[in-house]
Amino acid sequence: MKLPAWILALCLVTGLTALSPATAQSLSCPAPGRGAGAKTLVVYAATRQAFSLADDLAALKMELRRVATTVTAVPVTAADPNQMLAADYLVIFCPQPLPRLPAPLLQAVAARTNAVLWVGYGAEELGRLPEFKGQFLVTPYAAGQPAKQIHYRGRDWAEPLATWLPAQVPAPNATIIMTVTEPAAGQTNSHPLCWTLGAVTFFAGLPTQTENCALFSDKLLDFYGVTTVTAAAVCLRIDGYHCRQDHQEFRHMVDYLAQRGHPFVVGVIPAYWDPEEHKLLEMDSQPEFVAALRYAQQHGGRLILEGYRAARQNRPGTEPEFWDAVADRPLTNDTPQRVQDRVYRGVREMWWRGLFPLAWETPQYAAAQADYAEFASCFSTAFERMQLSDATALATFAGTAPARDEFGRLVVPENLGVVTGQRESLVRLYHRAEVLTRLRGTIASCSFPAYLSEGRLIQTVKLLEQMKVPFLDLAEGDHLVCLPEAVFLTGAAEFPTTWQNDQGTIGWQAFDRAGKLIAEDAAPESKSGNRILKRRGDGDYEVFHLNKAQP
Amino acid sequence: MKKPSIGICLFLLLTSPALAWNPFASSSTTDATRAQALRQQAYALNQQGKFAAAADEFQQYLDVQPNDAQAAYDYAMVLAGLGRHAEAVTVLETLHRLEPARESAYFKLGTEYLALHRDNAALKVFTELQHSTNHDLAQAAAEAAARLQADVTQAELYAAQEHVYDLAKDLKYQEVIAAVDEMETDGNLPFGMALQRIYALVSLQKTDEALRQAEALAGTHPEATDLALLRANLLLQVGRKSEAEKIWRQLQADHPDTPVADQAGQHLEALTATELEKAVIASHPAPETQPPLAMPVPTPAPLTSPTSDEAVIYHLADEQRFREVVQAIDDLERKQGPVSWNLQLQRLYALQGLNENRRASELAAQMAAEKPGATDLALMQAELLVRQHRWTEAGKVLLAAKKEHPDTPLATEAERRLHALPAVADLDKWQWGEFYASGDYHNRFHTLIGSGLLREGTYVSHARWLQPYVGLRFGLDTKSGAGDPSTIVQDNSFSFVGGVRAQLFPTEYVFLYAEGGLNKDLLDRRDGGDWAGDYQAGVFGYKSWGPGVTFPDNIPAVATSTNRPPAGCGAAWRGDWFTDVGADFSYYHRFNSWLGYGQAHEGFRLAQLTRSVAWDAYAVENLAWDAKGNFFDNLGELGPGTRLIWKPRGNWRVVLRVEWVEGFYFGRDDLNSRGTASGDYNDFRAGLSVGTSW
Repeated sequence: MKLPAWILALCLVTGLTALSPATAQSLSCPAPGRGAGAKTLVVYAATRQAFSLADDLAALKMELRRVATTVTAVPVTAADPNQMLAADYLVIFCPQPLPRLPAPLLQAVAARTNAVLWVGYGAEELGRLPEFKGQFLVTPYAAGQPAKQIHYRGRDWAEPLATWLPAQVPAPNATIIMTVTEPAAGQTNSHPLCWTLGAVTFFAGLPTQTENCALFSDKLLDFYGVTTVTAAAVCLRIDGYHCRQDHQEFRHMVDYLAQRGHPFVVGVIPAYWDPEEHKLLEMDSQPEFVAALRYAQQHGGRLILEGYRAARQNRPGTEPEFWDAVADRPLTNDTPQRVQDRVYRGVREMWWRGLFPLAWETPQYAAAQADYAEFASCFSTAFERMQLSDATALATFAGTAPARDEFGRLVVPENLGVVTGQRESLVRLYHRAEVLTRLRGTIASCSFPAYLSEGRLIQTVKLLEQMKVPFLDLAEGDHLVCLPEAVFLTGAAEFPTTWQNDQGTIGWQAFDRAGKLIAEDAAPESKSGNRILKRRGDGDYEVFHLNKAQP
Repeated sequence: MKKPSIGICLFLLLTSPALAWNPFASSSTTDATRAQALRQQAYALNQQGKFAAAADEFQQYLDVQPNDAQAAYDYAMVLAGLGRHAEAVTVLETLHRLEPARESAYFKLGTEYLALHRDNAALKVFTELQHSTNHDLAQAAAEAAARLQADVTQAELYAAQEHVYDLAKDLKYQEVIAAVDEMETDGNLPFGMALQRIYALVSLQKTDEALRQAEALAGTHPEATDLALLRANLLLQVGRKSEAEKIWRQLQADHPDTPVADQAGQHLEALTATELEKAVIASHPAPETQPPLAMPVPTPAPLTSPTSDEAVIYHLADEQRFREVVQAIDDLERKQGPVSWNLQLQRLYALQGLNENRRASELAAQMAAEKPGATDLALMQAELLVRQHRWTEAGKVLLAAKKEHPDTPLATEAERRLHALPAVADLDKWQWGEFYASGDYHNRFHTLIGSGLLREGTYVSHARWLQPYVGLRFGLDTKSGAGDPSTIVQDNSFSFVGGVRAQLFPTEYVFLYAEGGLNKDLLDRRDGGDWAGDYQAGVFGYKSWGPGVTFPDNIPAVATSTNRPPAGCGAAWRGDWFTDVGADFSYYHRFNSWLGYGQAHEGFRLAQLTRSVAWDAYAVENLAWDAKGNFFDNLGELGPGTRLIWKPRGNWRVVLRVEWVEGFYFGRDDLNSRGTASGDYNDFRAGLSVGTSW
């Protein structure tokens, strides 16, 4: 369709050309073809690769939860064939070679008419059944070299894949979805990597291992029969902003982003430990810091809470607040209560000053699994590279699109990495963003440390603009932030509660995205019984104050 | 996207090492500044993917700040990524001493031990970490320990299997059986090993035991096509032909359009065409008639990671998808140039499986030229030549193998196979001989006639089809000597001869011959009864067909499926058909005439009375022809007969027979008339003959 010249001129004037003509941004998990309540059963032969600390099963489950499905995982030894036959979606996961797969399990896979996804090793066992005999051949061991290029959806993707299994699929009724292409002596040698045969989709590799899961993640949309996929987006997040950063430089960055019309995210660390004065600098003593945050909130910045305090001493950058980085293990002296207290305190510090964190970011993406549960009790949305287990903080996962973690949070993945002062980080970011934004329903999200210069920010923004997709506006999502005394809601978020009149009253306030109070309930309602708190629709943010009566 | 947290790395990049970890470190500000610069540079290079340079920077930095645990860990990761596992181990061991609480680094030390094949050290690490208070890490360690133990067990099994394959390649069949037996006592026996034991039993000609094991194995592996083919062949060997046929037909039905179906079809075709020898060639060796086929000793996939293409090929081979194996190796060769020796051998096996013997043979010849004296190739090359009936070339290959590897199992096997070639191609054989004597009572004439011959010969080098010999012949007729005619049936004479015969077909007993010597008429008629010069020349031959011509210890089979003779001396009905024909057409100087004689039998081997005694019933046809038209020398006979055949040892045969024939004269006398003689007659005959060859 050819647009009238005056519309194009208007776009140029308003800077809208920086945005893609895409439809609504995606900050939700699409429903699978069998409905939002559909269940996925994962039957796994092992939880991880051999001799690895990384929990591959946890990574796979995160990947699957990019679609709105309930994921249940059982080991092959406990898999019930009837349960397998009845599941809406069945995933067989074998991260190690030569898995021991009971015959009834294989027969149940062969007998299924609903979708099955086979991931990893062991498919050769299935290939021996009469139903699949001669239709495909996959080696029981991985190829000696990683794949460097994968053909998918009519395009060659420079996606590395560390573990993949050479295969041949002679069956005429098979659909080859992905192939590993290997240049060899002037030719291209192709090996099927992903194919479907009847109800079964095979992925002859480990998508949970390296950054190549982007294509696998995209394929999941087909596996689940997703029909409605939102447009891809990019997300810029200024990270680690605390009171000792350069607030003037920060304001310049805000100005630039506002001028370009890009919403952005700011990771806020409310408190800072001053090693010289040996005291904790909180917001009440840092008016310039608070003013800068308010300025950002008024100019397209969406605030998120990045822990409570910068715990390291006088150094640029911060260290994990909820993880022992030296011993690479959970902090021995932390308790759930102490974690919760710090999170609540950070939220309160901001709320009291009209600053509204919409989501959580785990400092340095490192925390014990128990801590994640505490974060989830306060925030429904998070920016993360999810730490997969308590075994090590060095194994994390970031998908391609928002996904629910096992704590119920909607996790926006940090999948482009951290921008540094080096050129290589921008080059990597560009290539990764180019891949991610060409896939369906993705969010390509990067971390921009607050201590970097405005010039580096401009470079980063220009790279992201080349993707021709919109910048994510976090305020468009459904977010819930809970404290014992108040509930913060955006979009269609809800908060179920049981309230008795004698407990006290519920007050209500509405704010716009800049944090300006636009409405307030002077006569707080008070009803008894089960209630679901949801927005009335005034402004962008609404806060319900649970004013409990004093005993 | 699971990888080390960039945030943490960034933190580490920007964090001062001295303050980061070691409270006891003391250094000047200058040193600290230099160290900081080195550290930052190391991480910067690492981020840029310049790992070797990063490793150097890390090394320099750690020389200054040896107690920076995080940098040491990251240095170890860089070294591991570069494949410098020994260095990584050193760094991680130091780190573990300095910071034992960092269990994830200790776990990494375990994985680095694995990379250096220090399994015991790795197992110690994983076992210790199973007791960690970090539940997730303890679980990962427990899984790693279990996997390692399983891998060690598997590796031991692989090593044992490889040993068996090596034994099989060296033709040490008895050792193969012993090794597999031992493996069996240790637990579950892998299918491939059980199959190797059966092949070894076959090679040792322990057919019954091989079949017993094959049938037991088939019970647990009904889908194994290679086993099914082998079992069918074994069944055929022990005479259970109908069962063998059933298996082949089943394979054809279950695996249409596959090499397996092709092989089964070839067996069936051979059977239906009554070309049993073809069936033998297509399946397994007939020890006395054909060289044994190479035992399929698969080249096991290497334990180290093969390339992706090789992995596919080995897997295809494992699945016996021979055509695809050949295609894949051809493609690989086209793309990447010469392929490995193992892959070349794999291609030969596949071509052999496809019966594409000509190409296999050409490739084998190329390989042999490339790697003269390759022991794993010689037998296979010979077998491929045999399959193409290129007997002499096969003989040359086997003889060379025997000579190049004296006093080895290969030499023994090569010699065995050499002797199993047709004699004309057995280049190790320079003498041959045959003996035959027969006595028959003819009731019609009330006469006892006897005849016999003995030949001892050699081969002409480079023309082994030409076989000079010396020998003797005799003929006796008890009715001779009185009245007219003086000889009723058989010429009474004795000859010493020298001659040469030319074998027309390497595997057939058909010869042109010419011989001359001294002959003495025992009735003293010719030349007054003196020794006189004599010669004769012509063609003679013999051939037999059918399952009824064999004995139980022979291949092909001898018994019906339901009445297989026991290994001992019990009798059993057989009912296998047979037919044979023998003929001689020669010019005899002493008779001044061309005389021809032919005999054919068609019948059944009724019973196997013992392993060495069989009972036949048959129809016999005799034909005699005298070119001069002598009335009584031109006749045809037809009638029933029965015989007992005893095979006492080796090639010795003793035959006791009884026949009744109706005869017809069709010749004319010198006056071109039959005179008053009747044109037909009947006769009862009993005979005993003995013969052998060497």
